Amino acid sequence: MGKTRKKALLLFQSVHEVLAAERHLQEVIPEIDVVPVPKELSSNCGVALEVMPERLQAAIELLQREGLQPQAVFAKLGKKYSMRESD
Amino acid sequence: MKETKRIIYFDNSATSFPKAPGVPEAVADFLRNVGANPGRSGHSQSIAAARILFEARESLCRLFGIKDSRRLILTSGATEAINLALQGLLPQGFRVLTTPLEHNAVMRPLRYLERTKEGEIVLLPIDERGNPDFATLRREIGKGLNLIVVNHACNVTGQIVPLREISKLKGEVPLLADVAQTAGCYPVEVESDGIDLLAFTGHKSLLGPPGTGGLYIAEGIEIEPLIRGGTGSNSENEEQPDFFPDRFESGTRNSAGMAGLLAATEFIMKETVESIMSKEKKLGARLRATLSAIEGVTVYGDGAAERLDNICSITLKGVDPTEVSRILDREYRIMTRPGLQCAPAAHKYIGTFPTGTIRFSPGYFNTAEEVDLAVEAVEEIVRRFHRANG
Repeated sequence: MGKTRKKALLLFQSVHEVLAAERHLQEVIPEIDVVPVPKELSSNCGVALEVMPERLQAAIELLQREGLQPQAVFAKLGKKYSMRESD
Repeated sequence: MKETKRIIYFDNSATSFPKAPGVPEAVADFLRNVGANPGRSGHSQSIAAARILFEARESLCRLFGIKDSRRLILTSGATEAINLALQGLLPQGFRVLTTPLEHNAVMRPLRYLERTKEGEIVLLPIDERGNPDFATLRREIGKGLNLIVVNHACNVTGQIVPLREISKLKGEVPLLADVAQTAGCYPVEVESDGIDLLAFTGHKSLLGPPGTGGLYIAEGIEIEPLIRGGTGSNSENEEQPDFFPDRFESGTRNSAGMAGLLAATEFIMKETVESIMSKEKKLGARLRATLSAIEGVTVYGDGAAERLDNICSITLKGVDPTEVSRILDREYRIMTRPGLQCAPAAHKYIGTFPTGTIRFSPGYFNTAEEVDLAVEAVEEIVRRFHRANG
């Protein structure tokens, strides 16, 4: 029931990077999705990559190895998103 | 019903026809079923459109051996790509080294910039075999250059200029390669050819739709955008984004065209550039050899060490190329390109300026039978003018 679970969002500076991140992660990280950025978060490109919170760290590490650095990472706590420091 | 002669299309160097299988369908599919503006919204159709641009970029990068697809800027063609590179890179008082074989896509912006930025254009002599004058190359690099611009294959003679040999000597000077004629039918490898800026079109040997192309910009090359405007990113900011590819892609891309170019690039990689080159080489060699054997016909570029054989420029002694091309079209339904082919510099170099040549450029979908029909047609035209003048 992935759709109802809490998600983490990776924001990038361009749609190209979002789709490149999706390409790198899709074989390794289950249940990723390209989604519109919620209106309470500012975004440069209007879409973000959604991942399961428990896979967030693995996703970030994998992307860093590919030279893709998320601009911001948000995790949903309750009804609000909070920015997470990306390592 | 009167039988209509089949068209023989030998103008693939102007634009290829037919396009690769799947290209018209991909364009129509985009227009019918996707339609949205890529990168301008978070809805699923916009994301679907953005995926097409992403896949096209990735596919082209695989073809050209480019590692970072963010650095491949999608443009309307090679001309826009060349203008972006030249106008965006050359400073006031620049010095550029280029060849006498350039297309007007290079020469016109260069001449404009020579005037407006008080620049200097230095021509690198190229011998009949296609080899650059390495002494001049070394000397001019030593004197300081902002850029070297090289037409990979001359669109008049098919002569290949060895990019790799030039890039070995260029040091820190960026190399802009115009691969309008070679992309898709001759190996182009950004890393091993030492190319810093690669300008290509989608509608020639890449077998894609018109209005598509791109510019690859290597890391470390500083370029200003040609135009500024909406990118769908950084919308709260009135300044142009500083990141790739958005910095250079203001305005809505030709998404339908890029869907077609994606289908074309995939086709080329499936067929392989080597097999396409091999087939076109056979057709071109047959055409060149048989045309050369006709008395009164001169074929250009035969001395080249390396050549796109399928670019075959000829003249008929004492006959205006435009008239020959007209007869080939109207009486034989054979499509060729007469005149200067937008490359006056190249024609001056081979001595065919200002009347030019008749250019035959068979492509991947032509046949040996069509080559033979074209040669027979030229033989008949030569006989006709011989009788008329004799």
